[in-house]
Parts: sequence; structure tokens; C-alpha cells
Amino acid sequence: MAETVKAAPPYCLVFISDPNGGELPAWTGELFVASTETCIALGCMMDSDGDTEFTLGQRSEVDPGGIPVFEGKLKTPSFSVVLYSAEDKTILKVPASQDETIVRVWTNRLRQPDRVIIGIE
Amino acid sequence: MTKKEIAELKTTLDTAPLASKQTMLRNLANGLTGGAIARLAPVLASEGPLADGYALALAAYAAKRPEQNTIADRILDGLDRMKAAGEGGRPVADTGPAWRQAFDEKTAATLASLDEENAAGLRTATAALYTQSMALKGRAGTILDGHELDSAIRDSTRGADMVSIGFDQDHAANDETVMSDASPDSVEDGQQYAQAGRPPWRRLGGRPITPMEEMRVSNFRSHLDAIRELEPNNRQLSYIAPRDWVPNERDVARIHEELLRARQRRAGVNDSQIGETTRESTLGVGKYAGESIPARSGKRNFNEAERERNNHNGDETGCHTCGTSNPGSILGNFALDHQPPTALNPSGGLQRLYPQCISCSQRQGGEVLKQLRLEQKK
Repeated sequence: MAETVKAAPPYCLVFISDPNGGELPAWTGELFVASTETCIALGCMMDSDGDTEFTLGQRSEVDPGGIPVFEGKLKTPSFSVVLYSAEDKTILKVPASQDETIVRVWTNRLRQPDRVIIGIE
Repeated sequence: MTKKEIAELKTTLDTAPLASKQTMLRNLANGLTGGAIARLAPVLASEGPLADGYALALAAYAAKRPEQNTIADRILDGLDRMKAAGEGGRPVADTGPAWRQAFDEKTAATLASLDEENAAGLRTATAALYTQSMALKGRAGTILDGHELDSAIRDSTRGADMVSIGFDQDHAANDETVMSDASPDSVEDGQQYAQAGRPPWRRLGGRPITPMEEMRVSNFRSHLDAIRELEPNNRQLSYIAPRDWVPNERDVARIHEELLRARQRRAGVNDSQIGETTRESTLGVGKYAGESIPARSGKRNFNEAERERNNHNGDETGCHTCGTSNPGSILGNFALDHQPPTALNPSGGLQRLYPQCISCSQRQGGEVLKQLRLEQKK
């Protein structure tokens, strides 16, 4: 069941990984999306500019069509995927069916999007 | 080389097998002087689809360094793959509108001084590297993968990392090779090019330089001069830049950090130690900090007055971490950065708010999370 929430994460970024965490990706300059095998980092709206709407769910439920800004495999040994802030606070969490999950991300714009859809399968 | 010969070179490259293409450009790079290559590259780049990628590969080969050769080989491989994937009458398959938008936005800040012609050259080379890398992983180039794009941009800019401001001005005029500083468009087929060089990378616009920009240029050059004295072969002395390029605060800070590293190397500090001593952490008040305002709490429920005051402080002294006056946010607001960071201030000690740009804010977010995890492990 997909879930949607509006949030204003600090540091204008969020992370997606297994609940046990993962290796943080490195990036230089403004972040759009960066990833390792175990963690995806995404830029979002600056909190003082406004909220970002996050949706997390199965791809079949959330796919808005169009080309995702990110597509890749994520290791999910705990069989779930969690979206959380840089302060390690959970924003959304969904179960995953395997220990490796294909993650796709769609955003309404590349720079500091205020609409982020994360589909897993 | 005449314009006609350059056009023939491009046609030959288009039809040659990959290995021959790599050998031809590598031999050309080995046989010509740096000044000649610096003038040949933009003329070759103007020869149509793929040509700007050839030009960048030529520039990379000219650096005569193994890692540059590898990047040039990969660019040519990627160009071949893009050409092979061409559809619907298009000579070169592109990587899709989302990819191009991402590339333009990612490079907008760092390459803002490049004109469209030169940005297009870098885009082609990046697209080729991206396509090659994705193809080796069995993935389509039309899928946008930010991580791969970052790598491709990093490699393509590294591949072109052989042109310096000083090089064109100081050496090109004395070069014996027959090329010209005239616009390529004004040269008739068969006409020989005259002496003197034209920089391969230009900048659009001709507005007067402001006093702040003048100061940055002066600081930047004096740091470069100091690095040159310490380490004549330092790689930071060679980079893509148009003749009238103006460094931003971050460029000045970057070159200043390199100067500090060079001084430490001179003092016998090894590279791994230098990384530890010069790396700028975002977990403290930055060296560009000016005015700040007291935080009411660690929460982020800022009021309008606090936002305005923070933006005012940012306009006055820039991001407290890197000094840039451009906050980089969609609405032009500086981030209100709690110092010390709230997540690392469990005792609820007093905090102050400093203006911060979005890049430094995000970097801080990564450092905060890393630090939290370290503390959880203890």
C-alpha cells in the first residue's frame, strides 16, 4: 500500500535504504541523486522554501509514467525500504519482497523537487 | 592544417573502426604541439555531430597521461555506440531530454562561464562516456542514473583538463604550427591559417568586471602563482577556462585549499595526512561566517523575520561554509543552519543560525548522518 506524506526534511535531502542503513554515497556540489548499492541520496526542496511531498510504494501503484530520474538496484536484506532524513528520522517505510529491490524515482523537477515518487519492485 | 583537411579528418574519423580512430587521434595528439592542438580542437569541434567529442578526445590524448588516454579511448567508444544507436534519420542517438536537462543543471554552476558551443562539446563527451559506461553494464543510455552522470561529468572534465589560461596567452603566439586566431567561419577552404592563438574555450557576454570579481581574480591568480612556485607541475595549474573567466568564491576557496596542501607537501606532510588536516568539515561554524542570529530552539520553525535576517546575512558575507553569495535554492533563500547541528546537540545547548548555500547544507546533511551512525555504533 503506497503512502504519501508532506515533509520538510532538514538539509534538503533524504535517503533511501534498508532499515539497517547503508553506505552513504559521496557527491560534490548540489545533490540531485547519488547512490551506492545500499543507499540512495536524493535532493529535495529546502525546508525554508516549503514542504516536499513524498510517495513511497510498489511501482505498480505509484508509477506516474515518464522517465524516472533514478533507476537502480538496492540491497534490502531486511525486506523493507525506508525513506529517512539526514537526522535519521523515518519519513516513510514499506515492505519489500526480496533482499534486492529495484528502486525508481520520479520527481517533478531535477533541482530541489517538491514532489518525489519512489516506486519499488 | 587547412579547414578542408580538418573536415576530411572528421569524415575519416566518422568511418574508421574504433581502434583506428583511437590510434589516429592519439598519433595526431603526439605529433602536434600543444598550441596547435589548442587551436585545432575548436575548429574540429565545429564540424558537426560527433566532432566536438572527437575534439575533446584529442585534447585528452594531448595531455599524454595514461588516465587521460583511457578517458579519450572511452569517449571514442561511447561516440561509436551513440552513432550505432542513431534512429529515425538522426546521425547520433541522444541520451534523452531528462539526461540533457540533468547535465545542463548539474554543470550550470561549475561551467556557467562556458558558452553554448563549448558546453555542447563537453555535453557530447559526457554523453559518450555515459553511454559507454551504461552499455558496459547492460543498461540503456536513455535511463537517467544520477550516479553514472556524476561519474561521466567528472571524467569528461578530467579528460579536457589540459587547457590553461596561461598556456594560450603565453605560448600560442609563438607556435610554429600553421593555424589561426581568426574565426573558423571566416576561413575559406584551402586557406592557410595565420599565427597567434585563439583560446579553445570562450565566454559569452562582455559586461565590465565588478570590484568584487576583480578581487576574486586577483586572489585566484596570486594563489595560482604561489602554487606554481611550490609545485610547477601541480594539476590545478591546468584547467578549462575561457580568457575572461571570473572565478567564484568556491573556485578561490578550492585553489586556496590546494595552496595549503602544496605548502604541507613541501613541509613533508604526506597526502593521506593532508586530507585529514585540510578537509573542511561542515559540522562547525565555517570560515566565511559573518553575522548570525540566535536560534530559538533546535526546531526548524523559522519565522519571517528570521528568514529575512538570515538572507540579509547571507547577502552580506555569503554561505558561512564556502563563502558563495549564491544560495542555490529555488526561491533564492539561504538555508538557516543551526550551529552546532541540532542532531549533534543532544544536550540542547545554545545554537546560532548561519546562512548556508544548498550544496554545503546537503553536504552537512551527509556528514551529520555519518556522525550519528558513528555515535550509534559506540
